[in-house]
Amino acid sequence: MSSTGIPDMALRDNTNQRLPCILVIDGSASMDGDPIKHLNAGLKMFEDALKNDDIASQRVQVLIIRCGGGDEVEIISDWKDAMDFEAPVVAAHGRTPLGAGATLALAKLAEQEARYRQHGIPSNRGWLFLLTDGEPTDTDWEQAAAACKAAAAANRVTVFGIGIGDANFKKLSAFSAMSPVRLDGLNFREFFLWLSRSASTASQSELGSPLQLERPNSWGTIQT
Amino acid sequence: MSISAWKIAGVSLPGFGHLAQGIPCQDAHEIRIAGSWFIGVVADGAGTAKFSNAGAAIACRTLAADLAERLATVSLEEETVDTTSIRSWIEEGLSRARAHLQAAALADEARLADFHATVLGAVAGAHGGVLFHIGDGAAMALDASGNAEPIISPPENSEYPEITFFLTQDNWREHLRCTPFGAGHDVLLLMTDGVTPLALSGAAPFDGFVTPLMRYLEAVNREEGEAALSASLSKDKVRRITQDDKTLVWALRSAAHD
Repeated sequence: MSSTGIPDMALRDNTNQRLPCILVIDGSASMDGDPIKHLNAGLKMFEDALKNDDIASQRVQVLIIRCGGGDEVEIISDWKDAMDFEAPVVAAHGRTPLGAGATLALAKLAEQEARYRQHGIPSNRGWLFLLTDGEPTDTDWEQAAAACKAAAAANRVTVFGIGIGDANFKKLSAFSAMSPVRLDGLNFREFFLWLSRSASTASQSELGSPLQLERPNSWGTIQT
Repeated sequence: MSISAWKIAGVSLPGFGHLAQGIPCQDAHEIRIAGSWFIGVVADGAGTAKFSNAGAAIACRTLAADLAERLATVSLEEETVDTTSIRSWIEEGLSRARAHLQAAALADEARLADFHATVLGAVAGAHGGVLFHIGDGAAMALDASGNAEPIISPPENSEYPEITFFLTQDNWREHLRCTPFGAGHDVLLLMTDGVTPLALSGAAPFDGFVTPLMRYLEAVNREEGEAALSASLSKDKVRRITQDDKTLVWALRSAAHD
């Protein structure tokens, strides 16, 4: 007798350590055209690269937030194990409420870490990527940036700022003690491949060990 | 007077690693119903032992038969949760199962260690019962209505990862753990270490796995339940999680009035 299995049964390895990774993506009007096209293609490659990595597919968990509209933020892909992650298509219109995006990201990260604790699941320190081609348009972004910096200083999260084109690197650097990186042209492809490789390495690193990241030479320039 | 009826399902599946190498499943399970008693035994033969598949099978078969025989003599009136008695029956049963393994080893001119197997299970009646356990894998007594806290017998491993304890070791009594549970726990889940990464999250049942499982098995007949369980545990997703053999036994008690 053939069967397709038990409906809605989650099949995942609960003994694996997890690496939570949040992308806050600028979906404002200025990203329209080639930038958003390349970004979406890159996201799809990110999905494939993670899924093709046996370890990362089970350990990395992804959540994606879009900033856009009238200073609105939305979760366009809620927490997913990399093996179940399906790259969303990011739309480009509206403004860039990067501060609100970062605030939501910190809250979702804290929520997920509480869930790990509750279930006794070990986890690596979370990653928060902020991708923008402009600058924050929400009024209290500075507060959000300070909160990001503080969370990073307290070792609760690692924050990466990625600037595209004419991004305001000065403002982007307010979110993290780490210097932001300027994406070479629209090389999202290399960025996302680097991200999946880095996530794979980090997800296999021992808990609490210092982060060893590959330099972003293949896709960007560190803005010091 | 009310007696208990048990709804059951159980599968033992060879791991992806064993399938690829043409090695037989080294897990075994045995389910017996004796009157209103449920007896479930699960064993995992050590991958390194020569006759581990026989070890697991003999341990399950002989222990379940022994307990069923013993419990069949217990009349319904005596069905109170006397966990001390149940525990001593389990211990005697395990000791006799070891004697069977010893005999098999002699017949094969082998050592008892060639039959290394972990063993775990449950004996449950209308008023509760006992989980018993030597080695890794896990046993759970749950409340279908979700009111009572789950009772879990977690894996026991040595200080070295991947090394566990076996019924076939001389010091097996030191590693025998018995955990009583009351009438409020009407669902039993017994599993080998091929299933624990899926079903356990830390020291608690993983809801995403356990809840759909219980809901589904309760709704279908045994044949359908076992087919679905096999299909789920054979999915490609599981391949990435464990290469090990996988055994899962489920039982649900319902009160049947006569």
